[in-house]
Amino acid sequence: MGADTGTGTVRATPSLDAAPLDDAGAFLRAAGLVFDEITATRVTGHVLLGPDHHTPWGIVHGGVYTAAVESAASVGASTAVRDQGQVAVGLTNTTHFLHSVTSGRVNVEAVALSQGRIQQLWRVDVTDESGRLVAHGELRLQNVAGRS
Amino acid sequence: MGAALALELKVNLVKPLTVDTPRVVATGQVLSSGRRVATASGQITGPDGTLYAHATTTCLVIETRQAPGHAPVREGNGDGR
Repeated sequence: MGADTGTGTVRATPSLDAAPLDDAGAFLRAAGLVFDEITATRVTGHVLLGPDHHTPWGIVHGGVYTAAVESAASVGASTAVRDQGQVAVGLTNTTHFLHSVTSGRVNVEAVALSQGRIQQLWRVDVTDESGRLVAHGELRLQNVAGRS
Repeated sequence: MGAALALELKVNLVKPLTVDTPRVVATGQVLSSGRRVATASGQITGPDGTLYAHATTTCLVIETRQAPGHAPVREGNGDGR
């Protein structure tokens, strides 16, 4: 999986191919992003929001949207560099929370804004079923060597 | 009673966390707290001080009529988180 850096941490090399969501870790399963379409420049998906996503104040936690931004953009960006044996990993995630939601389906659309040799920038919009923008994020990613 | 709901969150992912990463600690600090808006920052660090991630957030300060754990009742017309 990785190499010991000698500082008590282990350097990680991400796998080239993403595992299916059913095999993902508990965090991603709980976040609940379901992918509908994945291409090298655009990713769509949805999340069925409910009490499991709530803050102690009874609304959906902003981290759910932040995770959706991270996941959708990372999958698309990694698809874009898969043929070069690379994976795109998030460097900076900026997510704006625009409207409170308690439950229901939200749609996630990630679009590539810039795809360079070293880094990529993706924009992600989260909208409710009426098309209202619930959250908006941008993810800057670094293309790194993947593990077969 | 009040609560602070995040309007925006910026996370910098400095080093990857793996299953082999030792226990990390999350800390947060309020940087500023006004009548309507507050800002805060947070860090995730390892036992040797290694920085794994840091973040800043802008929050809307709201008045609630119920204790945390219940849906807040807004005093104003804010539509933030």
